[in-house]
Order: sequence, then C-alpha cells, then structure tokens
Amino acid sequence: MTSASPSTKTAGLTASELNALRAKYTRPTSVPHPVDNVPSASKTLLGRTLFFDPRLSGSKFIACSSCHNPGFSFGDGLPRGIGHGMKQLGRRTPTALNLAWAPALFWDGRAETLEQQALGPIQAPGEMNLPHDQLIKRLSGIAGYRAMFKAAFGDPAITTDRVGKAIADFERTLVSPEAPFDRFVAGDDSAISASAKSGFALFNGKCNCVKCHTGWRFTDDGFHDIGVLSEDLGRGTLLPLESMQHAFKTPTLRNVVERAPYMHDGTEATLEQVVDLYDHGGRVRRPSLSDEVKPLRLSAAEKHDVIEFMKTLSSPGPAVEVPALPY
Amino acid sequence: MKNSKVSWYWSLLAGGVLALASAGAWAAASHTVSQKDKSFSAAEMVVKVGDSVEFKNDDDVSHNVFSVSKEQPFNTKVQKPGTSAAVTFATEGTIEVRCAIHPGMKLLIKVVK
Repeated sequence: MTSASPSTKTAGLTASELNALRAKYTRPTSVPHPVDNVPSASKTLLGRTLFFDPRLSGSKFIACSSCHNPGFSFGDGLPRGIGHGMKQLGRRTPTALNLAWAPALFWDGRAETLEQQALGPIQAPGEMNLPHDQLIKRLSGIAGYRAMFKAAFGDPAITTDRVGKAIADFERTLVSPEAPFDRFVAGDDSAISASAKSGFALFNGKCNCVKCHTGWRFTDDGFHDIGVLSEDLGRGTLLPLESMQHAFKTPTLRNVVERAPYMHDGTEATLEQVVDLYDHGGRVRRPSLSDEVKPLRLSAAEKHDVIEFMKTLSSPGPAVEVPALPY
Repeated sequence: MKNSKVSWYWSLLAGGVLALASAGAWAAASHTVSQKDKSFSAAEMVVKVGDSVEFKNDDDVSHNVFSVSKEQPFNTKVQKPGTSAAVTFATEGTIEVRCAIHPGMKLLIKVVK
C-alpha cells in the first residue's frame, strides 16, 4: 500500500503497522439498500424533491433541508435545531451524511431504519409539525407529485410508507466524497501532513478515539455517555439500563471541522474544546460514563496533531442539485 | 426492566452470584458466545430450556448484553474486555439479544424443550 521501506517509521509506526491501520479505514465500494426499498433514479429524484420541499411541514416553511443543509455538511451549524414556530429544539441537528450504513438513527437511536427516521420529524409537533394524514392529503393535491410517485412506485398512490421510502432512498445517496485521508488510506503518503499522520497514530493509540469512532465513517453507531454536562438522558429514555443513561449515538467525524458546534446539544463550541473534554475524561463523572472515556493527559502538540488529522476527513459535497418543486 | 424479573448472573470474577438453575438444570449444557470486533460470534443459536450461555467479551471495548424479551429479560450490565457473564435460559421462546452499546450486535436465541 505504501512505498515506504519496512524500516521507515511514520508517526512512530512502522510501515506494516501503518498499513494495518490504514486497512481498517478502507471505504466500501457500494451503498447498501434494504430489499424492500430498491433504489431507482425516479425514486431518488422524488426523495430529493420531498427533502427540499417545505410543504412537508405544517407551516409550509420548514423542509428536511432546512436543518440538514447541504451547505453545512447536511447539518445546520447551530447548537440545537430550530423547529416549528422558530422554537429551539433539545438537541443538535445531526448530519445526514453516510446514514445508509447506520443500524440506528437519531441521537438516541429511536429509529432502526432510514425509512422510519425520515417520517419522524415531519409529524413531530416541535419539528415540522405536519401529521401524516395531513401530509398525504396535502401531497395528493399536488398533481406533479402524483406523477412522480407513479414514476417511482408504478402507480400514483401517495402513502406515508412511500414518502419514507423515497426520502430514505435519496438520503442513501448522501455519501461523503473522497477526502485527503481516503487518498492516504489508498497509499498516497503525501495526501496528509506529518502532523496529521501523528494525529492519526494518536487517534488510534493514546487518544483512544478509535474505540468508538471506528472505520471509514468514524463511528461505531454505538451509544456512549462521554461525560457531556447535560441532564438529557439520551438513549436512557428508551432503554433504562445504567450504561445508557446520558448515552448518545457516536457521530461520524466526516466533515467534522465544518460541523461545529459539537455534542448532542452543541455545548462544545470548537474541536479544541471537544479534545479538551476527552483530555479531561469527560466534563462530569457518573456511573454511566463510558469505560472508553478516561483522562488522556495530552500535550498541546498532541492535541494539535489530532485536530490536524480530523481536518483531513473533510471533502466538498456531495453535490446535490436543489430541485424544482412540483405543483 | 425490573431486577426482580431479570434472570442474569454475573461471573464470579465480576463479583456476581452463581446461577441457581431450575430443577434438572445440573444436566443442562453450557454454550459460549464470543463478542469480538463488535459482533456476536453467532447470529442465531438453539439451546434447550435450562441451558446456559456464557457471553465472553473477547473485544478491546466494553459491551452490555441484554434482552427485553417477555420470555426472559436480562441485563449483563457493562462487561469489560476479558470478562464473561452467564445467563441460564429457563423459559421456552425466542429471545432477541443485543448489545446496548453497539446496536449492530444482534443474536437470536431459540430456547426449546
């Protein structure tokens, strides 16, 4: 994979050690789809159209894309999302990138499929506030949508199930394009800086990040209490086990530098603050604190290197064309 | 999940209690399921009523095996790397087992007479 000689060390790792680590971050060659939601161009177009259509909200003002803004790496750049009536929500908007592989959705994992997830915010009173029966009635009154549903599903019937499937199908196209780190993984030693390489070694070693931020998406899709100073019980509201109290889903680190502020509630404003939280072993100690979170005692240089590494996970896009909405 | 209904047993190493199995369980079999690379070593398995399953954490991260099945809810609590937890299955049925921390870890245990 790399042309370095066996005796050459990169960030303290031998060439074989580095190659072994790189192999753990190889990108998949295809996107998974459920058997009951086979993708098609017409379905993806329908899903993209629904994603950008504010008429999927009670106020006709909020679209999925209002919070999952392509310009903000499919987040919104806010500490916590803004929902119906311009009221602030309880949690930060997670990115919609790379969700095709996720076994659980939302910060607390309350949806097990993208199809389920896509429908949740539409009818949530605090978010888009449009009950599903009204959603279907509204969409069914738009001739252009009837034609699009026919193209996507074979007949013009507009159902909640089909809305969820179309949006989910579109969301599965939201895959992070190749970043400098991916070129490094593929064998291009010049793709990232020496500092970033040191950060990569720290990420996989002393910093312990890899225990949860695993694989090419940099998430284990797991639920951990990392010691954020918050009363929100997260996964614990759904699964009353001690380990799930204050536990939230591990977010991807793809495009992480563009997605500040951080944590489920936006309480860490910068990546420097995030690294500081981990360096201290969390802001708060409690019985549910993850075993993987412990004081790191990083030097300033080490903190810098880890952040330099995270910067290599960014790539522009994916480019998404804003559709003309049907009428 | 109420502890009074929970039928799970810590290993001696974890300071838990030994399973007091139902009558005749002394003849029951013991099965092992490994947790490695954030996966169970099996996706499905069949055991008999009274058999026990030892969940071994062969990973380098902690796990938390549990089930909310009506037949036999249980919770091993957090298992550090290198530890085990045994569960005796006393009731016939199909038990969905998961890791609370890693939702991709799923195991179906069919308990038969």
